[in-house]
Amino acid sequence: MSRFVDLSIKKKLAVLNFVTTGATLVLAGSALAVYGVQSYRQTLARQLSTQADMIAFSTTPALVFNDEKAAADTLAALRAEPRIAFAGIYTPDGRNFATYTRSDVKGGAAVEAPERTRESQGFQGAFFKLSRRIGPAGRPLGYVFLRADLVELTQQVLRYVGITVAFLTISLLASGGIALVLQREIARPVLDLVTTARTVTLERNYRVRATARSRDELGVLVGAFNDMLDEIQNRDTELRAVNRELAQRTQELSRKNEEVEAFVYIVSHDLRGPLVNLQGFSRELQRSCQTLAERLQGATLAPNVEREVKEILESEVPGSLRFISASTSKFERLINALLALSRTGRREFRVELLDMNELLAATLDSLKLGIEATGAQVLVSPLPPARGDATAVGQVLSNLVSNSVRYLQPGRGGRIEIGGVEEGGANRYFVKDNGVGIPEAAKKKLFQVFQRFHPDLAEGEGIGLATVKVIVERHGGRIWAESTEGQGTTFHFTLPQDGAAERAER
Amino acid sequence: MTSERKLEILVVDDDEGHVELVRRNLRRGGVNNAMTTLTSGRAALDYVFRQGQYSSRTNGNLLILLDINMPGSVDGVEVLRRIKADPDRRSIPIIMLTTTDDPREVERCYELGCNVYMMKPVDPAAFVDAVARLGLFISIVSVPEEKGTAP
Repeated sequence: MSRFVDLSIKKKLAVLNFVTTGATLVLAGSALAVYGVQSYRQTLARQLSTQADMIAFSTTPALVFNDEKAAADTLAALRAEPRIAFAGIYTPDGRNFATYTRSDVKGGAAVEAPERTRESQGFQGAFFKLSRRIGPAGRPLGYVFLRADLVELTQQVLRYVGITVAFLTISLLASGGIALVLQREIARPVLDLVTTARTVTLERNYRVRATARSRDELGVLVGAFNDMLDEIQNRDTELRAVNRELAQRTQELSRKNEEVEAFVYIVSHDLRGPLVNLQGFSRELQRSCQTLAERLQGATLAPNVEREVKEILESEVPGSLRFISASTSKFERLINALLALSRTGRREFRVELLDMNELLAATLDSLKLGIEATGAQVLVSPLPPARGDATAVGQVLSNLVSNSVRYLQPGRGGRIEIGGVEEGGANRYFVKDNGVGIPEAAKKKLFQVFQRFHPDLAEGEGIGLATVKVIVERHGGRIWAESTEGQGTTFHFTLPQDGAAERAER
Repeated sequence: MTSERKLEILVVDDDEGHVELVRRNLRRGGVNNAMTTLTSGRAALDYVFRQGQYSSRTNGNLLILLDINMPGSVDGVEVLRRIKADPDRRSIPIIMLTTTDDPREVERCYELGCNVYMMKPVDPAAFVDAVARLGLFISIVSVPEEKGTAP
């Protein structure tokens, strides 16, 4: 059965056709044969019964007058009936009165006693036997017995079989031919469909269509298939367009990124040129003033001139130089910060599975002195592991924790909580403090470069959070802050879980 | 000591202020060698290869202080590349001057064969130390006499 299931549709149809036609013909042939045999038997029984009645009638005088010869003559007339192989007339006591045996039958077959003296009829093996009473029922004169063989019936059955086989052969040939044509009508659309489906899958060609040849279920199927292809083609086209656009945008974005990086690099580089002069010539000026002061040491000047020169050389010029120097130093720090930020965005990450607890412990260890100095309490709950670059993620933790430490509310016991939870496809970590908080107006600029909101509390260039944001976003994560000024701040950031950060590695 | 005195120092930087600062620092550090200052990579190449306006200069041992970033098609890196590609001049000691310690730039200079790089502003002591180190450990080669074409 499973073999049949695996056959091609063409073969299935052929097999079905053959079986159906064959079965029909065999059934019809068998029914005809059975009916033929049945009707032959009935006809035979009826005819022989009539024959026996006629013999009984015509041999009655012979029995009455005990004329055996007349009875034998009557029986001899049975030659005209080739089906009868043997006939006999018996006296009521079972004695042989007269017999007839067909010329081709060897030796008169023995007739059993009951059949000689009792009416009976029936088929027995290849024969039909029949006994009839002669004379009235109460006082019988004798019995006539007939036996016919069924050679003719066998011949007739063989004829039936022959005819059936001939018809079967002819029908099968004819139906085979018809089936071939029909098969083509049924199988071809299906085969077409298969070819089309293959083309679509193998070549990813969604422009091909199957041809509908009929309006039957197959035609509907082909139509539905084509509609499906239309839909797929449309989606494919859309998808390709979207993909193209996406690739274009990605390219544009990375080009812009490169532009920004190049810009930051060039700007900071070019800004350094003039800065070097400012720093260098400030020092030169300082040296010149020192030399001048030394030279004037032994010189004699008018007291008011000396006082003025001394004022200039010892106070005014050094004061101006201090301002220049402080500004150039600040300028240099800003440029360095910019360069560092641009480097963070460029540095290649080595993404691995990170034990965040270990990373946090190391971070807290390096910040130990600062934390101890504030007397702040640090509460750590277990952190789930994440995928990321160890150095960069360490930098994030270090920045956030040291921010919390630096911006604690003076006069209030510092309390810093660090924790993390698994959420959906990512892990969210948080650093929560009860520090000074972030002014409402500053929240929008929180992650921008050079933004400082509490310059009175701590030194810095204002690139810490900008760096942290770059790092988290390069990992495919997000960072945000919740804060109430005067009450505290919570920074949240997400990092990819194990096995989810291939896109962070670029 | 004799070789140091013969050494001619060529300072190449498009920023005249930087050149002046280097010159003063060197003098203050006790370096009395002859000093030439140029403000473009093109001029530096002419000078080193004794061509163009410098075709008739006297040949001497050179130590080059070269700014990495200069405008025009011939920047410091290009000058470095051309000198290091010349078999007769590749052993001229070169100190690259940079304004950043950007690893990409530093790496490129070392790849091309610069001997030392220094970040500006140049600290006089470190500078003189580096020059002395180069003078001590690097044999100064004479550029062979060439038939220069007159301009």
